[in-house]
Amino acid sequence: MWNKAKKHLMTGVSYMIPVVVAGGILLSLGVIIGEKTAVGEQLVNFGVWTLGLMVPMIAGYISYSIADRPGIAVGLASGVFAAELGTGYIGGILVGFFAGWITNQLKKIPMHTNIAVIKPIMIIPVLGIGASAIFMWLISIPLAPAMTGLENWLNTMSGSNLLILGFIISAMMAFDMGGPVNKIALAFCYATLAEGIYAPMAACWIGIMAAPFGLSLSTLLFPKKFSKSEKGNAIPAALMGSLGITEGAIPYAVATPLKVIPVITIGSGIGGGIALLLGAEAPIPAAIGIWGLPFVHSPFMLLLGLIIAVVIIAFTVGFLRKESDIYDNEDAGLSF
Amino acid sequence: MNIVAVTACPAGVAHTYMAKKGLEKAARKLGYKIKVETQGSMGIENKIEAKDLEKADIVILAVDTKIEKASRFDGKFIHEVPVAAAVKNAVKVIEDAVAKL
Repeated sequence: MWNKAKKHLMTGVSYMIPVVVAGGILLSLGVIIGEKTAVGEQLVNFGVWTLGLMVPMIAGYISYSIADRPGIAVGLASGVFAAELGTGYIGGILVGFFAGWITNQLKKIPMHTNIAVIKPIMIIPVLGIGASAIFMWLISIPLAPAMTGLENWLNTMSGSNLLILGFIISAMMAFDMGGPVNKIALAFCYATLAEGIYAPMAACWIGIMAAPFGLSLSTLLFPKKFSKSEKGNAIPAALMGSLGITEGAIPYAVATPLKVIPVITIGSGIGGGIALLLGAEAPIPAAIGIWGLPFVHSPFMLLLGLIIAVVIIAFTVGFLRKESDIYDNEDAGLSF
Repeated sequence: MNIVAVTACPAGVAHTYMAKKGLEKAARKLGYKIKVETQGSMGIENKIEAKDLEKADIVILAVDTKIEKASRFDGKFIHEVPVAAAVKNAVKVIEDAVAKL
Protein backbone atom coordinates (compact mmCIF):
# COMPACT_ATOMS: atom_id res chain seq x y z
CA MET A 1 0.00 0.00 0.00
CA TRP A 2 2.63 2.51 1.12
CA ASN A 3 4.95 1.37 -1.67
CA LYS A 4 2.26 1.82 -4.27
CA ALA A 5 1.41 5.28 -2.97
CA LYS A 6 5.09 6.19 -3.05
CA LYS A 7 5.38 5.01 -6.62
CA HIS A 8 2.45 7.17 -7.70
CA LEU A 9 3.90 10.18 -5.88
CA MET A 10 7.33 9.63 -7.43
CA THR A 11 5.78 9.38 -10.90
CA GLY A 12 4.13 12.75 -10.30
CA VAL A 13 7.39 14.29 -9.10
CA SER A 14 9.22 12.80 -12.05
CA TYR A 15 6.97 14.54 -14.59
CA MET A 16 6.94 17.76 -12.58
CA ILE A 17 10.71 18.29 -12.19
CA PRO A 18 11.52 19.60 -15.72
CA VAL A 19 8.73 22.18 -15.42
CA VAL A 20 10.05 23.43 -12.08
CA VAL A 21 13.63 23.62 -13.31
CA ALA A 22 12.66 25.60 -16.40
CA GLY A 23 10.28 27.92 -14.52
CA GLY A 24 12.77 28.52 -11.71
CA ILE A 25 15.57 29.40 -14.11
CA LEU A 26 13.40 31.78 -16.17
CA LEU A 27 12.22 33.47 -12.98
CA SER A 28 15.73 33.80 -11.58
CA LEU A 29 17.13 35.10 -14.87
CA GLY A 30 14.45 37.76 -14.83
CA VAL A 31 15.30 38.74 -11.25
CA ILE A 32 19.02 38.89 -12.11
CA ILE A 33 18.45 41.08 -15.19
CA GLY A 34 16.17 43.26 -13.11
CA GLU A 35 12.41 43.18 -12.75
CA LYS A 36 12.20 46.84 -13.77
CA THR A 37 13.63 46.23 -17.24
CA ALA A 38 11.28 45.11 -20.00
CA VAL A 39 13.15 41.86 -20.66
CA GLY A 40 13.52 41.06 -16.97
CA GLU A 41 9.86 41.68 -16.31
CA GLN A 42 8.80 39.38 -19.13
CA LEU A 43 11.20 36.66 -18.00
CA VAL A 44 9.75 36.83 -14.49
CA ASN A 45 6.25 36.52 -15.97
CA PHE A 46 7.20 33.54 -18.12
CA GLY A 47 8.90 31.92 -15.14
CA VAL A 48 5.90 32.43 -12.89
CA TRP A 49 3.53 31.07 -15.54
CA THR A 50 5.71 28.00 -16.06
CA LEU A 51 5.87 27.42 -12.30
CA GLY A 52 2.10 27.68 -12.27
CA LEU A 53 2.08 24.28 -13.99
CA MET A 54 3.78 22.69 -11.00
CA VAL A 55 0.70 21.80 -8.95
CA PRO A 56 -1.41 20.70 -11.96
CA MET A 57 1.50 18.55 -13.18
CA ILE A 58 1.95 16.70 -9.91
CA ALA A 59 -1.79 16.12 -9.54
CA GLY A 60 -2.16 15.12 -13.18
CA TYR A 61 0.64 12.61 -13.18
CA ILE A 62 -0.17 11.06 -9.82
CA SER A 63 -3.60 10.47 -11.32
CA TYR A 64 -2.02 9.13 -14.53
CA SER A 65 0.09 6.74 -12.49
CA ILE A 66 -3.02 5.38 -10.77
CA ALA A 67 -5.53 5.38 -13.62
CA ASP A 68 -3.47 5.58 -16.83
CA ARG A 69 -4.40 7.87 -19.70
CA PRO A 70 -7.97 8.77 -18.59
CA GLY A 71 -6.49 9.94 -15.29
CA ILE A 72 -4.47 12.76 -16.89
CA ALA A 73 -7.36 15.11 -17.72
CA VAL A 74 -9.07 14.59 -14.38
CA GLY A 75 -5.81 15.03 -12.48
CA LEU A 76 -4.67 18.14 -14.36
CA ALA A 77 -7.99 19.91 -13.82
CA SER A 78 -8.02 18.91 -10.15
CA GLY A 79 -4.50 20.27 -9.79
CA VAL A 80 -5.63 23.64 -11.12
CA PHE A 81 -8.40 23.63 -8.49
CA ALA A 82 -5.83 22.82 -5.82
CA ALA A 83 -3.66 25.75 -6.88
CA GLU A 84 -6.54 28.21 -7.27
CA LEU A 85 -8.05 27.29 -3.91
CA GLY A 86 -4.76 28.08 -2.20
CA THR A 87 -3.87 24.56 -1.05
CA GLY A 88 -0.67 24.43 -3.11
CA TYR A 89 1.46 21.38 -3.55
CA ILE A 90 0.00 19.44 -0.62
CA GLY A 91 -3.51 19.93 -1.97
CA GLY A 92 -2.27 18.93 -5.41
CA ILE A 93 -0.87 15.66 -4.10
CA LEU A 94 -4.06 14.79 -2.20
CA VAL A 95 -6.38 15.62 -5.06
CA GLY A 96 -4.11 13.77 -7.50
CA PHE A 97 -4.65 10.57 -5.53
CA PHE A 98 -8.38 11.25 -5.37
CA ALA A 99 -8.57 11.96 -9.11
CA GLY A 100 -6.81 8.70 -9.93
CA TRP A 101 -9.06 6.75 -7.59
CA ILE A 102 -12.30 8.26 -8.89
CA THR A 103 -11.19 7.70 -12.49
CA ASN A 104 -10.63 4.02 -11.74
CA GLN A 105 -14.11 3.81 -10.18
CA LEU A 106 -15.72 5.49 -13.18
CA LYS A 107 -13.97 3.09 -15.55
CA LYS A 108 -15.95 0.27 -13.93
CA ILE A 109 -19.39 1.68 -14.82
CA PRO A 110 -21.02 -0.93 -17.03
CA MET A 111 -22.15 0.44 -20.40
CA HIS A 112 -23.62 -0.93 -23.58
CA THR A 113 -20.95 -1.32 -26.26
CA ASN A 114 -22.79 1.02 -28.64
CA ILE A 115 -22.46 3.95 -26.28
CA ALA A 116 -19.25 2.88 -24.55
CA VAL A 117 -17.29 5.39 -26.64
CA ILE A 118 -18.73 8.25 -24.63
CA LYS A 119 -17.20 6.87 -21.44
CA PRO A 120 -13.64 8.12 -21.99
CA ILE A 121 -14.62 11.38 -23.67
CA MET A 122 -17.68 12.31 -21.61
CA ILE A 123 -18.44 10.29 -18.52
CA ILE A 124 -14.96 10.03 -17.00
CA PRO A 125 -13.82 13.62 -17.59
CA VAL A 126 -17.10 15.26 -16.58
CA LEU A 127 -17.98 13.16 -13.57
CA GLY A 128 -14.32 12.71 -12.57
CA ILE A 129 -13.54 16.40 -12.66
CA GLY A 130 -16.86 17.19 -10.98
CA ALA A 131 -16.19 14.78 -8.14
CA SER A 132 -12.63 16.05 -7.76
CA ALA A 133 -13.91 19.61 -7.65
CA ILE A 134 -16.21 18.77 -4.75
CA PHE A 135 -13.42 16.85 -2.98
CA MET A 136 -11.00 19.73 -3.49
CA TRP A 137 -13.48 22.32 -2.29
CA LEU A 138 -14.14 20.29 0.87
CA ILE A 139 -10.51 19.72 1.78
CA SER A 140 -9.59 23.32 0.98
CA ILE A 141 -11.76 24.45 3.91
CA PRO A 142 -9.23 23.25 6.50
CA LEU A 143 -6.21 23.04 4.20
CA ALA A 144 -6.09 26.55 2.69
CA PRO A 145 -5.84 28.35 6.07
CA ALA A 146 -3.29 25.78 7.23
CA MET A 147 -1.14 26.43 4.16
CA THR A 148 -1.43 30.21 4.66
CA GLY A 149 -0.40 29.71 8.27
CA LEU A 150 2.61 27.61 7.30
CA GLU A 151 3.54 30.19 4.68
CA ASN A 152 3.35 33.08 7.15
CA TRP A 153 5.31 31.16 9.73
CA LEU A 154 8.07 30.32 7.25
CA ASN A 155 8.10 33.86 5.88
CA THR A 156 8.54 35.47 9.26
CA MET A 157 11.17 32.98 10.32
CA SER A 158 14.48 34.57 11.22
CA GLY A 159 17.66 34.14 13.23
CA SER A 160 17.96 30.93 15.18
CA ASN A 161 14.74 29.52 13.71
CA LEU A 162 16.25 29.72 10.22
CA LEU A 163 19.40 28.09 11.53
CA ILE A 164 17.36 25.19 12.91
CA LEU A 165 15.25 24.86 9.76
CA GLY A 166 18.38 24.78 7.60
CA PHE A 167 20.04 22.27 9.90
CA ILE A 168 17.08 19.90 9.88
CA ILE A 169 16.55 19.99 6.11
CA SER A 170 20.21 19.58 5.18
CA ALA A 171 20.70 16.86 7.79
CA MET A 172 17.67 14.93 6.54
CA MET A 173 18.82 15.26 2.93
CA ALA A 174 22.27 13.87 3.75
CA PHE A 175 21.22 11.25 6.32
CA ASP A 176 20.17 8.44 3.99
CA MET A 177 21.73 9.74 0.76
CA GLY A 178 18.68 9.61 -1.47
CA GLY A 179 16.47 7.33 0.62
CA PRO A 180 13.02 7.92 2.13
CA VAL A 181 14.11 10.51 4.75
CA ASN A 182 15.80 12.46 1.97
CA LYS A 183 12.64 12.32 -0.14
CA ILE A 184 10.46 13.60 2.73
CA ALA A 185 12.73 16.62 3.15
CA LEU A 186 12.75 17.16 -0.62
CA ALA A 187 8.94 17.01 -0.78
CA PHE A 188 8.76 19.68 1.94
CA CYS A 189 11.13 21.92 -0.03
CA TYR A 190 9.04 21.53 -3.19
CA ALA A 191 5.93 22.39 -1.18
CA THR A 192 7.45 25.64 0.08
CA LEU A 193 8.85 26.39 -3.37
CA ALA A 194 5.32 26.22 -4.77
CA GLU A 195 4.32 28.84 -2.19
CA GLY A 196 7.15 31.14 -3.22
CA ILE A 197 9.30 30.46 -0.16
CA TYR A 198 12.80 29.73 -1.33
CA ALA A 199 14.93 29.28 1.79
CA PRO A 200 14.26 25.56 2.42
CA MET A 201 15.39 24.63 -1.08
CA ALA A 202 18.74 26.32 -0.43
CA ALA A 203 19.30 23.99 2.53
CA CYS A 204 18.23 21.15 0.30
CA TRP A 205 21.05 21.97 -2.13
CA ILE A 206 23.63 21.78 0.61
CA GLY A 207 22.23 18.54 1.95
CA ILE A 208 22.55 17.00 -1.49
CA MET A 209 26.01 18.17 -2.42
CA ALA A 210 28.03 18.45 0.78
CA ALA A 211 28.33 14.69 1.38
CA PRO A 212 29.70 13.63 -2.03
CA PHE A 213 31.97 16.69 -2.25
CA GLY A 214 33.22 16.30 1.33
CA LEU A 215 33.96 12.59 0.96
CA SER A 216 35.72 13.08 -2.39
CA LEU A 217 37.86 15.79 -0.85
CA SER A 218 38.61 13.50 2.06
CA THR A 219 40.06 10.86 -0.28
CA LEU A 220 42.41 13.51 -1.68
CA LEU A 221 43.48 14.79 1.74
CA PHE A 222 43.84 11.38 3.40
CA PRO A 223 44.69 8.99 0.56
CA LYS A 224 46.08 6.37 2.93
CA LYS A 225 42.75 5.92 4.65
CA PHE A 226 40.73 4.99 1.58
CA SER A 227 40.77 1.92 -0.62
CA LYS A 228 41.66 1.99 -4.27
CA SER A 229 38.05 1.70 -5.42
CA GLU A 230 36.99 4.43 -3.00
CA LYS A 231 39.63 6.74 -4.42
CA GLY A 232 38.55 5.80 -7.93
CA ASN A 233 35.00 6.70 -6.95
CA ALA A 234 36.02 10.20 -5.81
CA ILE A 235 35.72 11.93 -9.18
CA PRO A 236 32.45 10.25 -10.24
CA ALA A 237 31.00 10.99 -6.80
CA ALA A 238 31.98 14.66 -7.00
CA LEU A 239 30.66 14.96 -10.55
CA MET A 240 27.38 13.35 -9.59
CA GLY A 241 27.22 15.59 -6.53
CA SER A 242 27.62 18.62 -8.79
CA LEU A 243 24.61 17.34 -10.77
CA GLY A 244 22.51 17.15 -7.62
CA ILE A 245 22.91 13.44 -6.89
CA THR A 246 23.91 12.42 -3.36
CA GLU A 247 24.21 8.71 -4.02
CA GLY A 248 27.88 8.89 -4.96
CA ALA A 249 28.50 9.07 -1.22
CA ILE A 250 26.98 5.63 -0.64
CA PRO A 251 30.12 3.50 -1.22
CA TYR A 252 31.94 5.37 1.59
CA ALA A 253 29.00 4.92 3.92
CA VAL A 254 28.83 1.22 3.05
CA ALA A 255 32.49 0.70 3.94
CA THR A 256 32.37 2.46 7.35
CA PRO A 257 28.78 3.52 8.13
CA LEU A 258 29.36 4.78 11.68
CA LYS A 259 32.29 6.93 10.63
CA VAL A 260 30.46 8.47 7.70
CA ILE A 261 26.70 8.77 8.22
CA PRO A 262 26.73 10.81 11.49
CA VAL A 263 29.44 13.05 10.05
CA ILE A 264 27.67 13.85 6.79
CA THR A 265 24.37 14.35 8.62
CA ILE A 266 25.74 16.82 11.16
CA GLY A 267 28.23 18.44 8.77
CA SER A 268 25.60 19.08 6.10
CA GLY A 269 23.21 20.31 8.79
CA ILE A 270 25.68 22.90 10.04
CA GLY A 271 26.37 24.13 6.50
CA GLY A 272 22.66 24.32 5.69
CA GLY A 273 21.87 26.20 8.89
CA ILE A 274 24.61 28.75 8.29
CA ALA A 275 23.59 29.32 4.65
CA LEU A 276 19.98 29.98 5.61
CA LEU A 277 20.97 32.22 8.50
CA LEU A 278 23.02 34.28 6.03
CA GLY A 279 20.02 34.64 3.74
CA ALA A 280 20.59 32.04 1.01
CA GLU A 281 17.47 31.21 -0.98
CA ALA A 282 17.08 28.91 -3.97
CA PRO A 283 14.09 29.47 -6.26
CA ILE A 284 15.03 26.48 -8.43
CA PRO A 285 15.04 22.84 -7.40
CA ALA A 286 18.29 21.20 -6.43
CA ALA A 287 17.82 18.70 -9.24
CA ILE A 288 20.22 20.58 -11.48
CA GLY A 289 23.01 20.76 -8.91
CA ILE A 290 25.84 23.24 -8.61
CA TRP A 291 25.33 24.49 -12.17
CA GLY A 292 22.22 26.28 -10.96
CA LEU A 293 24.27 28.35 -8.51
CA PRO A 294 24.13 31.57 -10.59
CA PHE A 295 20.34 31.52 -10.25
CA VAL A 296 20.33 31.34 -6.47
CA HIS A 297 19.64 34.40 -4.30
CA SER A 298 22.77 35.24 -2.25
CA PRO A 299 24.84 32.58 -4.09
CA PHE A 300 27.94 33.39 -2.04
CA MET A 301 26.15 32.64 1.22
CA LEU A 302 25.02 29.31 -0.17
CA LEU A 303 28.52 28.59 -1.39
CA LEU A 304 29.93 29.54 2.00
CA GLY A 305 27.55 27.17 3.77
CA LEU A 306 28.44 24.44 1.29
CA ILE A 307 32.19 24.96 1.75
CA ILE A 308 31.86 24.87 5.54
CA ALA A 309 29.93 21.61 5.34
CA VAL A 310 32.39 20.09 2.85
CA VAL A 311 35.41 21.01 4.98
CA ILE A 312 33.81 19.64 8.17
CA ILE A 313 32.95 16.37 6.44
CA ALA A 314 36.32 15.96 4.68
CA PHE A 315 38.40 16.47 7.82
CA THR A 316 36.18 14.68 10.31
CA VAL A 317 35.85 11.56 8.18
CA GLY A 318 39.58 11.71 7.49
CA PHE A 319 40.39 11.84 11.21
CA LEU A 320 37.85 9.20 12.23
CA ARG A 321 38.94 6.65 9.67
CA LYS A 322 41.91 4.41 10.26
CA GLU A 323 44.11 2.72 7.71
CA SER A 324 42.74 -0.59 8.96
CA ASP A 325 39.32 0.40 7.64
CA ILE A 326 40.45 -0.24 4.10
CA TYR A 327 39.16 -3.29 2.38
CA ASP A 328 39.09 -3.54 -1.34
CA ASN A 329 35.87 -4.70 -2.77
CA GLU A 330 35.52 -4.36 -6.50
CA ASP A 331 31.75 -3.96 -6.40
CA ALA A 332 31.68 -1.25 -3.74
CA GLY A 333 32.56 1.47 -6.20
CA LEU A 334 29.86 2.87 -8.43
CA SER A 335 31.03 3.42 -11.92
CA PHE A 336 29.05 6.01 -13.80
CA MET B 1 19.09 -17.57 -19.10
CA ASN B 2 17.80 -14.51 -20.93
CA ILE B 3 16.80 -11.50 -18.87
CA VAL B 4 15.13 -8.27 -19.88
CA ALA B 5 14.95 -5.37 -17.44
CA VAL B 6 13.49 -1.90 -17.19
CA THR B 7 14.96 0.80 -14.94
CA ALA B 8 13.24 4.05 -13.98
CA CYS B 9 13.72 6.60 -11.19
CA PRO B 10 11.92 9.86 -10.29
CA ALA B 11 14.46 12.34 -11.66
CA GLY B 12 15.37 10.04 -14.54
CA VAL B 13 18.94 11.24 -14.83
CA ALA B 14 21.10 9.10 -12.56
CA HIS B 15 19.64 6.08 -10.80
CA THR B 16 17.98 4.88 -13.97
CA TYR B 17 21.33 4.63 -15.72
CA MET B 18 23.30 3.47 -12.67
CA ALA B 19 20.84 0.62 -12.22
CA LYS B 20 21.27 -0.27 -15.91
CA LYS B 21 25.05 -0.41 -15.52
CA GLY B 22 24.70 -2.44 -12.33
CA LEU B 23 22.38 -5.00 -13.87
CA GLU B 24 24.51 -5.40 -16.98
CA LYS B 25 27.65 -5.89 -14.92
CA ALA B 26 25.93 -8.36 -12.59
CA ALA B 27 24.47 -10.37 -15.46
CA ARG B 28 27.86 -10.63 -17.09
CA LYS B 29 29.33 -11.83 -13.83
CA LEU B 30 26.62 -14.47 -13.40
CA GLY B 31 26.84 -15.52 -17.05
CA TYR B 32 23.35 -14.46 -18.11
CA LYS B 33 22.25 -12.48 -21.14
CA ILE B 34 20.51 -9.21 -20.36
CA LYS B 35 18.93 -6.29 -22.17
CA VAL B 36 18.11 -3.26 -20.05
CA GLU B 37 15.64 -0.62 -21.18
CA THR B 38 15.84 2.78 -19.46
CA GLN B 39 12.81 4.99 -18.90
CA GLY B 40 14.52 8.15 -17.71
CA SER B 41 13.80 11.79 -18.37
CA MET B 42 14.58 11.17 -22.05
CA GLY B 43 11.75 8.66 -22.29
CA ILE B 44 12.32 5.09 -23.46
CA GLU B 45 15.85 4.22 -24.55
CA ASN B 46 17.26 0.84 -25.59
CA LYS B 47 13.70 -0.37 -26.01
CA ILE B 48 12.76 -3.97 -25.32
CA GLU B 49 11.17 -5.21 -28.55
CA ALA B 50 8.77 -8.09 -29.02
CA LYS B 51 11.59 -10.32 -30.26
CA ASP B 52 13.65 -9.63 -27.10
CA LEU B 53 10.64 -10.41 -24.98
CA GLU B 54 9.95 -13.67 -26.77
CA LYS B 55 13.32 -15.07 -25.74
CA ALA B 56 13.24 -13.67 -22.22
CA ASP B 57 12.84 -15.97 -19.21
CA ILE B 58 12.68 -13.23 -16.61
CA VAL B 59 11.56 -9.62 -16.55
CA ILE B 60 13.24 -7.50 -13.89
CA LEU B 61 11.67 -4.13 -13.12
CA ALA B 62 13.98 -1.90 -11.08
CA VAL B 63 11.59 1.02 -10.89
CA ASP B 64 10.38 3.72 -8.48
CA THR B 65 7.84 5.21 -10.88
CA LYS B 66 5.10 3.98 -13.15
CA ILE B 67 6.61 2.67 -16.35
CA GLU B 68 5.30 3.09 -19.85
CA LYS B 69 4.08 0.15 -21.92
CA ALA B 70 3.95 -2.14 -18.89
CA SER B 71 1.34 -4.31 -20.59
CA ARG B 72 4.10 -5.75 -22.80
CA PHE B 73 5.15 -7.88 -19.86
CA ASP B 74 1.73 -9.38 -19.09
CA GLY B 75 2.03 -13.13 -18.64
CA LYS B 76 5.80 -12.99 -18.14
CA PHE B 77 7.61 -13.82 -14.93
CA ILE B 78 8.20 -10.42 -13.32
CA HIS B 79 10.53 -9.60 -10.44
CA GLU B 80 10.05 -6.01 -9.25
CA VAL B 81 12.46 -4.15 -6.96
CA PRO B 82 13.14 -0.49 -6.08
CA VAL B 83 15.67 1.10 -8.40
CA ALA B 84 18.10 1.55 -5.49
CA ALA B 85 18.31 -2.23 -5.04
CA ALA B 86 19.76 -2.61 -8.53
CA VAL B 87 22.21 0.22 -7.90
CA LYS B 88 23.46 -1.15 -4.60
CA ASN B 89 23.52 -4.89 -5.27
CA ALA B 90 22.40 -5.93 -8.71
CA VAL B 91 23.87 -9.44 -8.32
CA LYS B 92 21.45 -10.09 -5.46
CA VAL B 93 18.52 -8.74 -7.50
CA ILE B 94 19.25 -11.16 -10.34
CA GLU B 95 19.92 -14.09 -7.99
CA ASP B 96 16.63 -13.46 -6.16
CA ALA B 97 14.77 -13.32 -9.46
CA VAL B 98 16.32 -16.58 -10.63
CA ALA B 99 15.60 -18.26 -7.28
CA LYS B 100 11.95 -17.19 -7.47
CA LEU B 101 11.52 -18.50 -11.00
